[in-house]
Amino acid sequence: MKNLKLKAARAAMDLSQQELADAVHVSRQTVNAMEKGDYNPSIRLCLSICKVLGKTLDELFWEE
Amino acid sequence: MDARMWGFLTGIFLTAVVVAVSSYVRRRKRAKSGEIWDDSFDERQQAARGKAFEAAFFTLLFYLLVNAAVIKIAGIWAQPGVDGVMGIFISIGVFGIICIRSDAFMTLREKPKTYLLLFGLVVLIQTMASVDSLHTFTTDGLLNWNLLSPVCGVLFLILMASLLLKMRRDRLTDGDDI
Repeated sequence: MKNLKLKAARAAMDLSQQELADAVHVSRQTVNAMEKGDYNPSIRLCLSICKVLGKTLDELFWEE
Repeated sequence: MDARMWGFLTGIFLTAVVVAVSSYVRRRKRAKSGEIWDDSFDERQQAARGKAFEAAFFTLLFYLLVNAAVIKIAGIWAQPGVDGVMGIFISIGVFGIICIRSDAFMTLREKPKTYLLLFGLVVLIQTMASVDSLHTFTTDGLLNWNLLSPVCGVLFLILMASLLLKMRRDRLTDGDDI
């Protein structure tokens, strides 16, 4: 399932996939795969992304 | 030791020297500029590489099984060692293609163009080596070591084509997401 919340949060901060990837030390393709729902990140990576985007885990990764 | 073995050892030695010198120069350059260089794979890439290693391992096992069956049924078809190296080439090819397809071939900071250049160089060198030994791919009816140059060239040509296709597909599908 696509993670549209992650994509929206990234876009809201005006970050490209590459910029977010650089901030959390992963490849751009990994960010792309997470947004497409092709890859489930580890909790450590989720936390790094939350810190960079200023969101909580629930806001970005909890599925309703 | 014959001329072929000297050439083989010289090639390995020169490659080691080139790699050592280039990595030393790069490290010094980065240290001077204070640049932080990440030569690691991220967690998705590590998982993808694990799957690629698994596929390559089972490919090699399958190849060895088939090779043993062929030798048992039809007899020896290559000089000692040649069939083994062919199996290694095939499994390296499987590993490389899976890694390239899953964006796990290069570390975080490496650029595809560097690898395209490197692969192109290997293809060129192996093509030159193959032309040199053309028409002498068999000895006493068995495939010999000369055959490994064109096989290696084809392997890197396939890896190069996979990388180019992947780069093209990324441009087409990810263009609006970047």
